[in-house]
Amino acid sequence: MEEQSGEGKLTVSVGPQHPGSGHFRIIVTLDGDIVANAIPDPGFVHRGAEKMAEYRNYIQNIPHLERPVILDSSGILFPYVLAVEDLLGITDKVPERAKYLRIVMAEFNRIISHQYFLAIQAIFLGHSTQFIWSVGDREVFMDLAASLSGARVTFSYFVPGGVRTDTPPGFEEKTLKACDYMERRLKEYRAMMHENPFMKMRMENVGVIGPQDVVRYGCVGPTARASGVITDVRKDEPYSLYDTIDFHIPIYKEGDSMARVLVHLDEMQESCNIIRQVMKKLRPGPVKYVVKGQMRGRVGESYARTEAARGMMSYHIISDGLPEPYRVKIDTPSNRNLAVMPKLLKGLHLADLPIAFWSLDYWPVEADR
Amino acid sequence: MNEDEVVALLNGTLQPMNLVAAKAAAHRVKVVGSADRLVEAMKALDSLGFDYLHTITATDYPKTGEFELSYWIGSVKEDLKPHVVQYVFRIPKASAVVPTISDVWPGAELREREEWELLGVTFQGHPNLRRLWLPEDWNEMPPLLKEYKLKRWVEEERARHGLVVRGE
Repeated sequence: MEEQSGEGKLTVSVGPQHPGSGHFRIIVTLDGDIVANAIPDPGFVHRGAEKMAEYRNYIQNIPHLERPVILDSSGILFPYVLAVEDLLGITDKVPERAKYLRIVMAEFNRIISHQYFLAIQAIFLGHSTQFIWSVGDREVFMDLAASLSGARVTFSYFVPGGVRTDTPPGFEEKTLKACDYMERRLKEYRAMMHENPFMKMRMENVGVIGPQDVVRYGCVGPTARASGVITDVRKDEPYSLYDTIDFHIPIYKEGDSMARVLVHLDEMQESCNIIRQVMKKLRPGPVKYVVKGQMRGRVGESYARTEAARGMMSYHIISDGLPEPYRVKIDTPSNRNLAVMPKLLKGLHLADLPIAFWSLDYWPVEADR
Repeated sequence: MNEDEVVALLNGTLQPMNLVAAKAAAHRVKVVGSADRLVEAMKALDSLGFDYLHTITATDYPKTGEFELSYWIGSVKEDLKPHVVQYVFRIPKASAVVPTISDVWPGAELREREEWELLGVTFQGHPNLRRLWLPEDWNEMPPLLKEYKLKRWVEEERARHGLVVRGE
């Protein structure tokens, strides 16, 4: 780490204690209270998930690989199961009900992750009411996801061939009720927090990224969509029957912290819309194609991508025919968004740094793997 | 645009460079190339609309003494969005030097740093090749090399459960 103190400049290490999201440090050089230079220093929670995945078979990898993103645990598993199904040659054997249940779980997880995002965003702005509201309302969907999968956080719900369990009795009514509740609450969030002139002052025009930079630096997810770049894997390369559902992707042009927060809010609304449509389309049937015996992929490779809560998540899995993958490369959205951080933070007031940082929805564990 | 049209579009520009694009799977187009033509191929893909670098995967093949590098490039253009192009080549491990593409896409800088650190592929011309994920005092070999074995107990545990131990 290069010291840039002296001549009116001061180098400060922001972190690596837990700034609301995981252990991560930004080395900030200050000129007065303006950020003259910001160098992200990740790696405090690197656990070698890719290396460890080479030592586990395709089923053992399911609980293992969701550890980097327990907040969005089905987001990180979705492309994994798609890639493994491709390697096993069972892509077209996945039952329709399983595909719809995967969408339900993925959208539950999107809401859960976005609620956490809103909660911490509020805490960074000193707005504890929104924090309590978001953390509380998140429980509604965590309970539903738990009733579906049996676990509160790490669902391990997706398996190659389908999903692990079918819906419990009364699931549909509870889900529709939860969606109604969430949509009502989202209106209240907007009135209290996001249309609040003080909160707008703190977030508007803070940390602006242009569409050019989004593409050159490879930003994904809400960060890209808040800058006017229309990219969402659910629409671009529809997987798991997303093409049978009518939804739109929220796009903002401003590219500032406020736009990124609003994208998250709108996406939660769209998730409720998607879940409602899926509930109408769910037909009774099997939820899993059972692979007999040890799973062995064909010799070859597969690249699958999906839209996780924070953006495009992709897996490149190389198989040499053994029960374990030969190489697993996980490309996570936080890792993608990390590249733009020095550019984004430069020139901000130090007081705006937490908000601009968090508006990227950067999750250190997900980036480090 | 379907895969065949993408292949035709790419081949129009890539063939003069002696590179051939072919359909690999649904929405996946594969270009088998070499390390010397990497930068010009990336610039050509960028100008054709594949302007959105997803990731770089390096893989160790100890049996042949090679690294395989896959560059996955997507697009944000409306008609190219569903497709991902894979530019793939192998290099000998003894001279694992690849030109950097961080001047084509600044986002590649972190991707390359990761492969350098975890596998030991050197990216020539990279502005900032230093530790990213590993501890600063890491003095063992790059951990994603196949020679680097996880702790002994993992294999003992696997043998106890009758799981196949990968022999090399």
